[in-house]
Amino acid sequence: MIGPAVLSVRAVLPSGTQGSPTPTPTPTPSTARTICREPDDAAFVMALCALPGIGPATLRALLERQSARACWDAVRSGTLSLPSGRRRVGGEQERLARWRAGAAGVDPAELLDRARGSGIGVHVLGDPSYPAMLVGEPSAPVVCFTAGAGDLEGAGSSHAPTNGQARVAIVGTRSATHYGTEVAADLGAQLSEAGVCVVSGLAAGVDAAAHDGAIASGVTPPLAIVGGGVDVVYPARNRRLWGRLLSVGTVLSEAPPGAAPERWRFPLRNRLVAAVSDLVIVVEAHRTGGAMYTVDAALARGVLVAAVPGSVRSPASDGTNALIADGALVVRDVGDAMALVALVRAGQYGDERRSLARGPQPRRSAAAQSLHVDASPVEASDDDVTARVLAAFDSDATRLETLLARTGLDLGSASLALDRLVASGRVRRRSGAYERTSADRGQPARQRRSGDAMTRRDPDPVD
Amino acid sequence: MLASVHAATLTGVEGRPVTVEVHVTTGLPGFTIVGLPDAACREARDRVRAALLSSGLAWPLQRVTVNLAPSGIRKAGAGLDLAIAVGLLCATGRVDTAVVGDCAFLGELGLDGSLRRVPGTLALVDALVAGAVVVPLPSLAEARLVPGVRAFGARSLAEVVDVVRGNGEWPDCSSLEPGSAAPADAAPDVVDVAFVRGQRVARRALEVAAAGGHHLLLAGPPGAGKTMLARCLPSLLPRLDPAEALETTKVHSAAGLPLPRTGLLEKPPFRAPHHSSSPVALLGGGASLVRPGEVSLATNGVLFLDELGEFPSSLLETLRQPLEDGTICIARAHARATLPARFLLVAATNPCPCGEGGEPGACRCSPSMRERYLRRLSAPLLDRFDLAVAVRRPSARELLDQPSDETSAIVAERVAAARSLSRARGMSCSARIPSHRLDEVAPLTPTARHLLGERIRAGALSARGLDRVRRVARTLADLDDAGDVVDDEHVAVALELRAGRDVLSSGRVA
Repeated sequence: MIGPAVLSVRAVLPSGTQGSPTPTPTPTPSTARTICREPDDAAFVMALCALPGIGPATLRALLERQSARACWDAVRSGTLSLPSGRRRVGGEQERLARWRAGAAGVDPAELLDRARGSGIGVHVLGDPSYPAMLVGEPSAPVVCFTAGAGDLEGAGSSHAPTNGQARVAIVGTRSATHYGTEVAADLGAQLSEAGVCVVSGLAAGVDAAAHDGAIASGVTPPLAIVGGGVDVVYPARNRRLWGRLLSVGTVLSEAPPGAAPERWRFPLRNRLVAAVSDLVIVVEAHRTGGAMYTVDAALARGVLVAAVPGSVRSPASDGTNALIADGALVVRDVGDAMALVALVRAGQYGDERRSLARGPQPRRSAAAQSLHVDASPVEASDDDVTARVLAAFDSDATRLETLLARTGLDLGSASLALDRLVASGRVRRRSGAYERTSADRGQPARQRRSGDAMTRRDPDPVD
Repeated sequence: MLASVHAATLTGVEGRPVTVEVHVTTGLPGFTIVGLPDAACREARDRVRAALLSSGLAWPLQRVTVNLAPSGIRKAGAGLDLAIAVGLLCATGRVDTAVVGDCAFLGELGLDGSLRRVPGTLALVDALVAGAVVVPLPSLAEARLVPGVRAFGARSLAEVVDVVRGNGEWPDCSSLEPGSAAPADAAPDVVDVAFVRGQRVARRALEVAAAGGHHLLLAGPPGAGKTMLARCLPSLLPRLDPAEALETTKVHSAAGLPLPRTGLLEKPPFRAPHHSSSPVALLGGGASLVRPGEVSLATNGVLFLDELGEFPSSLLETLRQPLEDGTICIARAHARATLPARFLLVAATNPCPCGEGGEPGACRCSPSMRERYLRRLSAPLLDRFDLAVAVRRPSARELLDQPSDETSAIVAERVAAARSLSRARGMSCSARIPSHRLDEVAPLTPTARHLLGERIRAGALSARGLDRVRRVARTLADLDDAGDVVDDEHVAVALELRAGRDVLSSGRVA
């Protein structure tokens, strides 16, 4: 497996370079080629991108052949023919007719003005403002759109294309369990605190939780890559989260503003999530599903994939556990994640991957060590009741019934003890049960269960 | 000849006095009923004629007009049959008008002259302006519940005629026919709380609900025992006091439901309408005649809504008025009635369509399915539940090993004691403590105040929630007989007992 730096292929002409208006003759599909650019053609690129049902690959193939302006005119006049690689059996004429109908009455300049007027950034491949992180991606979108307060590094900036910032994708199933959303939120928050840009798809479940955590920590602006237009909130339940993300981070899409989140856009979106990231962490995933598209895209690009292990009984962890069984790296906490990020950025992973997976504990980066959450602000000695309650916890969520049965306490004193534990942040309530928080995970549960060990806290076990 | 006889008709659960005026004159033989009778009432003509003939009394071959006064209100049902028959006998001179002057007559006639029970006898007798009343024998016990009215029972029209003609005596009320009213005394659905295995928290919540009148929500997967827990509740509730019993009996009588032998419902009713119930069945109503619905039938008892999430949300929202006011106001084009609807609401629901929502990793519902399901349970409705408990399936060990420890009788004793403490403060139960009296009735210890303060500062408790927690804590303190002050332990348990609603928001992020 090779690193992303090795795979990167220069796909962009320097800005301002005149593209050839004549179609380039049949290239080999494996190598990425340049697209034809003219000055001030962003409006036409955008108008083409907004044609009904046009995908990024088709758009790119069109623009590799002729300039956007010429292409747009051909669409309007009905003289366009699809590039050879993009023809489907039958339906070509219908498709072209649909485009022609869609292009009728559209003023490209107005389209561009409207987008820019509502604060949406329009970046065409080759522009200085085109996101640096997508430069070098073989399937980089010809045009992408951004919204939000975040500041993406442009391809034309002085740092480019060093990819200054570390980016980690946190992806997973939309129907996540509490475990999944919780871990995703923790990772999102702590990675953000460590200066890592959290990348995700802003979907329901793991995606939303990761962004929620990253926004809550508020240190590093997160990046959301969405399937529909940057101004189309989807799913609707994420409306508030979407707004909060826009106020601190960036929403990026290759779909034009106003584009509906059609099904076919999501796997494409996932390839971009993988493409821009140094590391993809799958928090929870079913055996099949969108998260696996991201994994496949990451593997195809040589981006490191890591998974958060879950219960073997939880269907939502089926996919992640299978990934681990197949040799994916394991991320248990932000320390693991930061160690991997550090290795990726130092160009040190690859053949070592297997040894990392099998070998001793990965070395923690300085950032990870400084980041490690310190012991919670808990009074030095718990009273006896609190200690008994703590000792009765399972390693995962434990019902009050179970706690009562194990401790033999009555409902009153147990409730009181739990209230104190919740107030001090050592225990939290979760869907009808209680669980110990990460702030209280200094010792494994088994040790806590036995004897009086829980009355004092061992020193923090960070190695 | 003209005669008038006292009777009454039913609107909602209240009776309205009616005067049956019978006018007999020469002319073409005919029989007309005027004064807004409904279809059943208009058919009285045929029943009365057959009953008279069957009882060996002649039918007048004259023109008969019956007016039901006041003619502005609609008269429903067959309850005026007996009054019309007696009026007819008076008007044709076969019964002395003076004898029946202060007596009202209620009852439906059979074609053979027998007397049948009328729904709402209690309310009807209560509304009478007369000092005495004759009712069908099966309703006699019910009629005698009304003070100040002498009630007599009869089996048939012939018996009534015999007595008013001075030829006989009222039948002895001790000869009440067995089985004339269904034995509602034996409530078959009630479960003893000792049969519930495990579920310590939920059982405590039941006890608190019974003692304090707090609405209770049970949320959990199928098979966790939610329905069984709810069915335990009647066995924990104290018997109705006389005023409550009368109110509840009135509603049940008006709905035509069977009453116990004594005529008085003394046990709290337990109503469990199915989620396919229509709005009229649940709330009451009807085209012309307002009938009490399940919310009214549950008055002073328990309304149990199983599978709350399956009820149409519009129906659930209509419950908010009765939950707030204790009454339900039903208005129709022809009728308007305010019925009592003061019930203890117990609801059971799954956390999501597949039911496994509470268990980590077990639920296979998509977030949107879950959201759609939970959207039916609006926040204002969920807010009415002082107690919300997450119920889980008991473990195998709990099911097999644990002996049942407390029977309903033991718990009911504590409940009764707590209720009497509440009555001593001037309210029937702590759920009805007005907010402005909380400081006086349920003062907090400093530690309890601190605990609540922390929750409020953390944003986990609203002002309305605070009042509800304090009421529940008051009930808990009463159950423990802990004196006047509410301490932190009671507050902690009260918070715990309402925390179960979090399973209903499972999976939501942000």
